[in-house]
Amino acid sequence: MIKAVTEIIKEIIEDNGEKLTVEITKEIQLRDLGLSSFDLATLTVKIEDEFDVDIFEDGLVSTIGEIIEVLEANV
Amino acid sequence: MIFFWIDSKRKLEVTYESFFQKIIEEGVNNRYIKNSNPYIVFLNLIRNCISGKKSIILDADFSDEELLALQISKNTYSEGEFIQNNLSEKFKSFEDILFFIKENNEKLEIDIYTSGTTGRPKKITQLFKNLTRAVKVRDALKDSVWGFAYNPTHFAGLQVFFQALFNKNTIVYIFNKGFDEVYLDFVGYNITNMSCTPTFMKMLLPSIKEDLIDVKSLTFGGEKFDSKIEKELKKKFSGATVKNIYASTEAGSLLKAEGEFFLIPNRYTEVVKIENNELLIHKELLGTSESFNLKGDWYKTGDIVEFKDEKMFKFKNRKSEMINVGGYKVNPSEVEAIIKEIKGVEDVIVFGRDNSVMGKIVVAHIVKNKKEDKKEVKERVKKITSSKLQDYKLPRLIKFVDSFDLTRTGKIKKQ
Repeated sequence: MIKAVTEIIKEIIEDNGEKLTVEITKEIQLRDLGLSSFDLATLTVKIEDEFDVDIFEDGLVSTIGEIIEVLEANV
Repeated sequence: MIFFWIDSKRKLEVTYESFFQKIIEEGVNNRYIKNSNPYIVFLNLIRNCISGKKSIILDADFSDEELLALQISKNTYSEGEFIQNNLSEKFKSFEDILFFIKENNEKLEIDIYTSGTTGRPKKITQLFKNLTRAVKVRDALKDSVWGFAYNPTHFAGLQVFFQALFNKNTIVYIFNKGFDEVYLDFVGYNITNMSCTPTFMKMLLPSIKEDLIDVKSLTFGGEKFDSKIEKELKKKFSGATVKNIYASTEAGSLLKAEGEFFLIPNRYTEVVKIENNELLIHKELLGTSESFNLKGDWYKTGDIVEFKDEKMFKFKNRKSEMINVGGYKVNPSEVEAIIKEIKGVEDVIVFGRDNSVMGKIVVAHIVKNKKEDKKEVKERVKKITSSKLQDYKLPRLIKFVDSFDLTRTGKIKKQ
């Protein structure tokens, strides 16, 4: 699961013309990745397309670990 | 010594006294205002205003292309120049300036641009009277410190500016910076009031480490309030009253609510009404623009409401195709027109897709020329759209399709 999420994050960061420089672990905060609100919005729809789950549906998610939790609970 | 403007990113701390001196300084001024530093935008606005000149306020990130579509070129800019002098006689203090604005609020004008419904931004000329209509000046407000969380060139930003200015409040500029830094500004400058979009708040909440008890008032506007953040708000802004406002780009902030249900206040019963579940605004409250769709004396907002009882109603959706991205309205035709011109693109449809972070995000479905490579076309689309359009208008998802099976509202097209 974390691999798939990492791939999506990598794609978004590369689409912005930048490179993913940190290793994605469950502890990483989304805001530490320098994602803008547009990037987060893109992240949610890309995850939605892949897993059919809206990670922000029940409120706020701030770490990668929390994304995985939501996904594991719903997939 | 009261601070007028604090912008920690640009290392600016300006007191009302030095703001006043800058306002009355002699020199060249320009009626056209396009600057990425919001302090300069407001300084020039007030300078124009005390010289009795109309300001034309442009978004700092308008591209040359977007400006040309508005019939504004470098030449037009220089036509806006004038020399400002001899104002130190007329204005002895900052209070004189406020007095002048209030006295002349039916004459002073400002042009702002808002996403049009016809494929390009539309110009709206507003009287200061309308811009400052919602401003409240009270003793109890004199120690407020505003967190400024809007684009300064848009209606909502201008309203926050005047609200703070008329009460001689400090403004802390917190827009367009990291949310951890915004939190530090809240703590460091004791921000007490903020007006922002629900999306801005959603992004800010995870960065707030401790309850910001000094915050007295939070106002949300620009998009539908998201009740999912309510619980978190109570925890992190436990001392704040929360209000939602309904504002239109054409008339500014109009209605206030504590939850999601609004009612038309008595003072507006003559000028705001609901007909066939659509909110209509009397032309008296509007600025002037060629592109208003007036029905007699009434402007049809395209905002559809649903009644709870005889008086209370909530907003349902918009009749128009405009995409509300975190409070900013994107016109899909404008984006489509640009993508259609790109090499390798045969056809395109741009629409909003529901999103729990920003309300909607902009999506483009493209039918490409069969000979072209997907990756190359996508690169081209990204490069060209980002050079020609403002950031919030850019499609965040680009998909290649053989034909369109979705309509602009994101619904499956009936064949």
